[in-house]
Amino acid sequence: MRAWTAITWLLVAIVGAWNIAQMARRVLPAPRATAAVPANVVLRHERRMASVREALATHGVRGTVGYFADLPPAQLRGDAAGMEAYFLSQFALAPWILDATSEQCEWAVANLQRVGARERVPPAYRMVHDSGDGVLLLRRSAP
Amino acid sequence: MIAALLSAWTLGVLLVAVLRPAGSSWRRDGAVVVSLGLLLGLGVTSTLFFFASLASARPAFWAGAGELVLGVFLAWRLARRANPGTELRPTPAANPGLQWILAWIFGQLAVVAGVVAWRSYLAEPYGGWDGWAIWNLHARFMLRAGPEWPLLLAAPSINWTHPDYPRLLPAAVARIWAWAGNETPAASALVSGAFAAGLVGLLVAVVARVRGLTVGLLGGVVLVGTPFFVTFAPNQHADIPLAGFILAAVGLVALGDRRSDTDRGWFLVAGLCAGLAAWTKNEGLLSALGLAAVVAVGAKRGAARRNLTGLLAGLAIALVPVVVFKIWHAPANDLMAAPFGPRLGQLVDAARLDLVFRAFGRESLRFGEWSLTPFAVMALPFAAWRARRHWVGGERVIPAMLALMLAGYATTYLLSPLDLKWHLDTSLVRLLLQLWPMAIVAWCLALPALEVTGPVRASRGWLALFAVTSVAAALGTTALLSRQLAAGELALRRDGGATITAAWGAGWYPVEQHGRDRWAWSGGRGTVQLNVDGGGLRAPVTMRCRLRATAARTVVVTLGGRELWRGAVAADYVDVAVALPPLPTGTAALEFTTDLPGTPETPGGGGRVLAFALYNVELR
Repeated sequence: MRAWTAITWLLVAIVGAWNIAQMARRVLPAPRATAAVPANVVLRHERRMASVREALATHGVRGTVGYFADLPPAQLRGDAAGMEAYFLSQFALAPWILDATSEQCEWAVANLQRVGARERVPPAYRMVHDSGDGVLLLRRSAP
Repeated sequence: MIAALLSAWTLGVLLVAVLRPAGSSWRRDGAVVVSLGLLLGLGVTSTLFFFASLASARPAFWAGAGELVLGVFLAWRLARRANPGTELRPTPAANPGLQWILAWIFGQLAVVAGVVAWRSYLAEPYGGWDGWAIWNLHARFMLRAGPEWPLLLAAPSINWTHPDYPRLLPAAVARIWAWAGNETPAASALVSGAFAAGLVGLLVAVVARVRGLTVGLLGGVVLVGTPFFVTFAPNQHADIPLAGFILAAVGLVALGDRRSDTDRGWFLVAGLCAGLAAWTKNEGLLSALGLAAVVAVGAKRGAARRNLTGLLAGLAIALVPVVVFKIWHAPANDLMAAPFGPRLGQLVDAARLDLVFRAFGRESLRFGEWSLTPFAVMALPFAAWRARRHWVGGERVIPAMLALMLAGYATTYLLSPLDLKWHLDTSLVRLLLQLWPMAIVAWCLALPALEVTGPVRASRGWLALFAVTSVAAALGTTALLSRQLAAGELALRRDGGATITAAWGAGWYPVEQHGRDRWAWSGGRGTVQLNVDGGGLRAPVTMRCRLRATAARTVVVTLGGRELWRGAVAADYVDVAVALPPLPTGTAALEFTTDLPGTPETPGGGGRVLAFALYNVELR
């Protein structure tokens, strides 16, 4: 009985070891060569938004700011990639609140990857800061 | 960053050391105190930071002052206690041979798991989706917004961040960011990894205290041998911290003797841990209330009643931040916001019941992402059914809590106002992971006994063989892990402290593989990136590979415009050896070109245009 128990315990341990070994084969190390652009989407987005974040702080903006994406708000909700970009932008720009549904905020951030600013940004807004790569800080100039 | 973690850990160890029952020795309780101290320390310091963040724009200063005062007080209490304690209950005698083998396997697995967790962290420094979109985002608000963070997070436009979620994890991360002076993602991964390490240590320690170290190590092997647990450990979700607090609460009740006045300290700490579980995730509230209810059963008078009072006192203290947050600072939970009455009918909806039970059955068998499911071998020891051990005393709380939590989760799904399939698909595996450590402890405590009755001595020959095998296995594992190629890498060579790697560059179609052969086709121009780091290479390096082409052509290999190889390539394989010139640290592109254009793969065109393929690259 004791031998049986000992053997079965060892079998449990061997199965655990096998699972870890297989996992180590699946989870590959990071590439040795440093990439110019981070592979991780969150880090990439942090980098894209860094400049506009500084601009928001420089202009003393507080609270909620508008958010303009490639798609209008009604279509944005149904677009997985667009929503991911919105969530990532919110993560990068906290504690400013990004409101993707309003065009009434005094300040707004545009995150345009597919369309031009003229197409998506309402005429009431003027550009205050261009972070490059389609990221803009806008201010409402007309009521 | 490390100092912030160590100070939290020290505070937690002091707290557990002060509250643990008098009369039990440090030797017996030490592992429990140290591992539990890590969880409790992170929980207590994060709670102090939470309150400080509500009151001040400099929460790190005030929370640090609070930690200092609490630490001095606890140290003073511990010094006054000065009771080394005695062994009240014997620990089961160990089988030294099996114990050494399991310790070796556990140690090896823990190291490999650490390497895999590190790789997972490098792939996702801010964690998985919920890690950055919920928990780290909340931490950023707590640190960046000052005392008005609850107001900002309550903005309706960002209710997708689940602003009602408890704040233990975000506050723990924000605290370390504040101490470190920057928002490095390593801090949130450190907190996440510390909770996972504390959980593993606690599981081994709790089981070892009841059943001996051999069984404790076996439980540790099962947990560390769960791939989902390992890859999730640095993922910065709240599920592993929650699993830790649930296990701590339930495990301490199992350690304590409910009918004895000597163990009340464990019940008090169990209550604290149950409250911290509720402060970690909303599911923790279910476990906290469930534990109180389970312990209350039969605790009508005497010591059992007093121990229940201790548990409730600990729970009440730890629930203070939950109450403050939920009443004054949190919007309604998305699952609770919808009217409750109409949803009651969902409890008996046959289609929903079927979907929920099928999902529980399916995911229970595979949530761990095992290559080889462990359940069959875990059942083997129970073939000797009569030799199984019965749960006694407080241990019975563990299966009761498992059943209660599973029932609670199933009920929550049935009542969910969200799309049920989506809800199950996106959360069930994490809920099962929360309960997995508790299930492992229940399994460990029921295993047939393997205690030896007399002293056992291992022969020197066996010990020497064991030592040699261990060292060889450790070296082999290290070599295999360090030589493993990253995605996109083709070959690696080390020379002293320098490493050169070859990786696919631009101009290749997706990599194909058959058996040991690995290749990619090019349309006529492709590059291989050579990366050198860790200093210059001492010995010359040769890149060996094979080439073949769709039709006879000449292929030329150049580096920075200098021709290194030229040859005729056709349908048959051609062995190629490219002697690389001395390469400085950095990246260089090896370019493969050909004299003739590629040919369409399919006669009518429309598919790939193929010129030549590069096979099995090696660096020597």
